[in-house]
Amino acid sequence: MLTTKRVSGGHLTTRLMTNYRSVLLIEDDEVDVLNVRRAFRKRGFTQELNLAKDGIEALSMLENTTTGLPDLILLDLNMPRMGGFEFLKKLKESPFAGLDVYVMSTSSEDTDKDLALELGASGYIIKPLYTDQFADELAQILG
Amino acid sequence: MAMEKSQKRTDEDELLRKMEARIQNGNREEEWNELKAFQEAISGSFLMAKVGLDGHILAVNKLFCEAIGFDEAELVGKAIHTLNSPLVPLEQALNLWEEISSGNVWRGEISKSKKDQSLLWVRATVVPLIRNGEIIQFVGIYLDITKSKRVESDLELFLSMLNQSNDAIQVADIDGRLQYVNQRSVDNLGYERDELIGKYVWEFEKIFDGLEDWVKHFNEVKANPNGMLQDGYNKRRDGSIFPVEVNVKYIVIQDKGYIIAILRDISERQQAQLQLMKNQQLLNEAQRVARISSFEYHSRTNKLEYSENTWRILGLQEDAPILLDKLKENIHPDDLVDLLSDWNNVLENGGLLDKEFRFYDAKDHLNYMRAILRSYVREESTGSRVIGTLQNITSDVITRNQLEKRTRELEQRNAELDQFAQIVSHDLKSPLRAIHNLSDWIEEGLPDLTDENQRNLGLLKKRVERMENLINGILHYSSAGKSKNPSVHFRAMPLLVDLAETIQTSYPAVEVHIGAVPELYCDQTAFEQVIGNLMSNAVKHNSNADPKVEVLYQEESNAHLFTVKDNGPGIDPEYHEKIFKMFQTLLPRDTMENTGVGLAIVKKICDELNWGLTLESEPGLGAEFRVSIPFEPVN
Repeated sequence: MLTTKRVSGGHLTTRLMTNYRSVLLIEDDEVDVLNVRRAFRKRGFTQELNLAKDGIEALSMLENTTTGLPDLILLDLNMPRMGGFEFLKKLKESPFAGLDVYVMSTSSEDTDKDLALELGASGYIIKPLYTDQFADELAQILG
Repeated sequence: MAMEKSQKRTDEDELLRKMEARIQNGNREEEWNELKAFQEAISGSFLMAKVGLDGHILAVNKLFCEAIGFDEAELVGKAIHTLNSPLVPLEQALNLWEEISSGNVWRGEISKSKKDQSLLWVRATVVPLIRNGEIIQFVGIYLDITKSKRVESDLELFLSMLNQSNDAIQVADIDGRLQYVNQRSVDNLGYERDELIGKYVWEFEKIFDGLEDWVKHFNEVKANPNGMLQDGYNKRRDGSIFPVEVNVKYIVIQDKGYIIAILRDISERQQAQLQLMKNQQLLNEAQRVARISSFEYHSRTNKLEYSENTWRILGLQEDAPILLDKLKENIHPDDLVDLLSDWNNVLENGGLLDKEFRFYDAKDHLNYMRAILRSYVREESTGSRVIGTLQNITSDVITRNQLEKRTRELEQRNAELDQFAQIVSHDLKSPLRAIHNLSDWIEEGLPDLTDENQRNLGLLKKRVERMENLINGILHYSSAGKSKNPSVHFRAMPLLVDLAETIQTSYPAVEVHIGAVPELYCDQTAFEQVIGNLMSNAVKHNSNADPKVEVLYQEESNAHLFTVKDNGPGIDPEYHEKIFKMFQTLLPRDTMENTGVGLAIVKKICDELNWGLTLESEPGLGAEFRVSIPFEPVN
């Protein structure tokens, strides 16, 4: 059932994906958005970073894009209107099903991680308290 | 006895004596005619036979022939002793012969066999005829006493019957004085027979007050030609009393009226009846208390018998007959078809039936019933016999339903609580992390912080970290023991070694000793969590210079016993209960970063799985936690 891209302890153990050019961050929490932006700035990630506040906005952006689809989606789980799990389900049924999605969540529950991977996520990051640790994890994905 | 009887003075005897006297006086010529007349007179009144010296009959008179049933020709020449009945004792026959052979007259009662084999009892006088000092022949003169003999023996039989009767038989006159009592009366009342004869009835029969009362009773019985049956109480000589059933009848003997009473000691019967009644009462009472009733049914006769409590159980009007066909009308229609089909099945094939059904009582209230019955099938012609019990389980069903409802509610509430813990924990974690992040960034953005501000920011982040630990603790606690993993076989030793190594990574100074451990069969995850938490607990709080942890195993009669022992500071017995509570710590968190969840999780898992958990510890003497894992049957 599970994909081969297993993660453990919040650290990615899969093969590193490189050459992402454009990233879509789906996140409602301002501080978390800030956290990602700071990591981009501090680690010098060059990818284009777009933002959606929830699943609905993200789907609509994908459908109506004029500048092209993102290579990577960073997805929060708890969001108003449409949360991460529902977005994954919708995405699977959409024309954009092949997109790489990494889930970033506060939850350290195995059940959440297992469900996310089962719904097609490529990886699962537990949002840590320390910003540096978070930046490290992003760097693993973005190179 | 026969000789005695012959001494009786009767007219016949007198006559015989005269004749004898004359015969013995000789053979005088002048008396011959007189003698002849006597002989004729005797011959007309008595049976007579002349017998020769050899015992053969020489002559018989007419009466003899008539009485014995043979005619003269048959008798003459016959040995007279062949006419003796089988009842004649040999001694009597020898005695007779000896006497008359010696020239003496023999008198006595003797029985003869008639031609038709019936008995002829005679009072006999046998006289030897002597001529010239020689016996020449014998003359027997007999009186037929068969009839009186019969009466006598009947009377004897009757008296013996009276005395052997199991019932006391008493005869009393109008004055209330006893005239006759049989042996049983003597035995029952404890008086001598002589004491009883002449005693007043009311002296031992408690129901009579005295003479007046007795006379009243006497006349009442007299007025009832068929007799009367009544119950009474007799008093023995020693004063004790026993119940009797009395059958009384008025009789007349020689123009005088008496009452004959046949009394039966009914102590035993009364006792049995009393016991039966008591048993019946007890059964009824027990059935009432147990809210159960019993019944029996015979299919051939369609007869239903039931205990008194059945009315109460079914809530039907008391004393109204309960009919099987009518009962069907009271059974809830949804249950009726099923019940009838099961009922018919056991009637036909026998077997046990245990069935619940709904039943409307006389007030149309719905009741829940449980019938447990067994059917015994006999031959086709005799049908089957069913015995069973009936219980009104309405209140049980209500309780059961309430319990089920409450269990469902509790399960739902538990699920909600778990969900609540999960949601709250996640929702609490986000802002917490944000605070941590933001304080990080403030610290980064303000390079010239004073030492105090720097320290405060550090404390702020420490508290946030502690809060996150607490939230994680809640999550772990709420999910602990929930998963109910199936029991598996596993080797505990490598698992314990792993746990020890994990601990030694964080606490390299700790010495861990693990005793010999067998293969286990239980919930492996739970085992790991329980022992792991106890080991880390033993290490975390160990302030000893040479910290040691021991994990020891011991097999008990029905459980695996694990002991986790440390050489730490020990725990005051005052806190032995407290330490298993959620978030309970014994030291300030600033001294020792500790959520106080570990032992609470251990306790929760042990409670869920019914594992024993005990603690033995004194301050300064280390602590010993013991976990007892009951043996499980392997599937």
